[in-house]
Amino acid sequence: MRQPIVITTPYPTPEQVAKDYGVSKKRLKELGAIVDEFLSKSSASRAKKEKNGHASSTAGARRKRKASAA
Amino acid sequence: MPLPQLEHAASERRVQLEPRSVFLNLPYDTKFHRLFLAYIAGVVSFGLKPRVALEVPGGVGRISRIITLIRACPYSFHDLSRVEVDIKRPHTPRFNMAVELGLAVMLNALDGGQHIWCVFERDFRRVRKSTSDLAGTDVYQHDGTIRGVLREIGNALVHAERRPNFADTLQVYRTLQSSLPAILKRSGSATVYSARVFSELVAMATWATQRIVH
Repeated sequence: MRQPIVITTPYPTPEQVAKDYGVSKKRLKELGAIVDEFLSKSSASRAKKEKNGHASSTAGARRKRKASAA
Repeated sequence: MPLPQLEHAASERRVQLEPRSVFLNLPYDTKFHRLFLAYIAGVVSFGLKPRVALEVPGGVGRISRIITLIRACPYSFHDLSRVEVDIKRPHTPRFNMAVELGLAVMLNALDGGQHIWCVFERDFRRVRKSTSDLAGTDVYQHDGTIRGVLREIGNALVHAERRPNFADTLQVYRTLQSSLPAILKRSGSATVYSARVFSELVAMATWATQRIVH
């Protein structure tokens, strides 16, 4: 396999990217809020799973529910 | 005889190189939309800015503008997994991806190897048959899955500052996937393949990367 491409340029900020792609500052804020909400829900859900002592997959949980209902 | 527009695009010397840009040569069909999101999530997680032909308006001179776009990108990723006969009539093969790969290969030759191109496929054996001229080229095999695309982008790229791992890129992908309905609703678009939706997805992926990748 070929050697990976090494990226040396610094990461762009969301503001820089939004400007380059023609996304307004206001819209970027809205998009950022959607991302933050998703990440916060996702992290809360992960914490809950860890607290309950299992990190089962959604499919696994579905199987368990099915089995207990049967 | 070469088309005048092509001649112009190839001979144009003053194309501003955008050091973080990667040209994504992808099929635009409904079955591919999750992988489309995975490519955006993957390259943005590595600090790159994806560019696509969707940004280029149609009509006369489109091919010339695509050449200019590829020339502005130091890297290009070409997904050939949908190079197949279209089931819709007329039953023609889909050549766009192969044509754009050919343009990148030629630009690499003309620019003294400065443009780096990578080929992605769901099964590397398909390339041997569909584009046998590429024999000896390493192909990134993604198995037609989201995880496969993210894994192979992780094999193709390394960042000197940060180290995005597979879980990070998957989380960026999940953010895009979960937010897509809201983006489509606001833009009034039924498809992910529009310039406006694409721009918002890139901005969103960059925001998510800033939060996730350290």
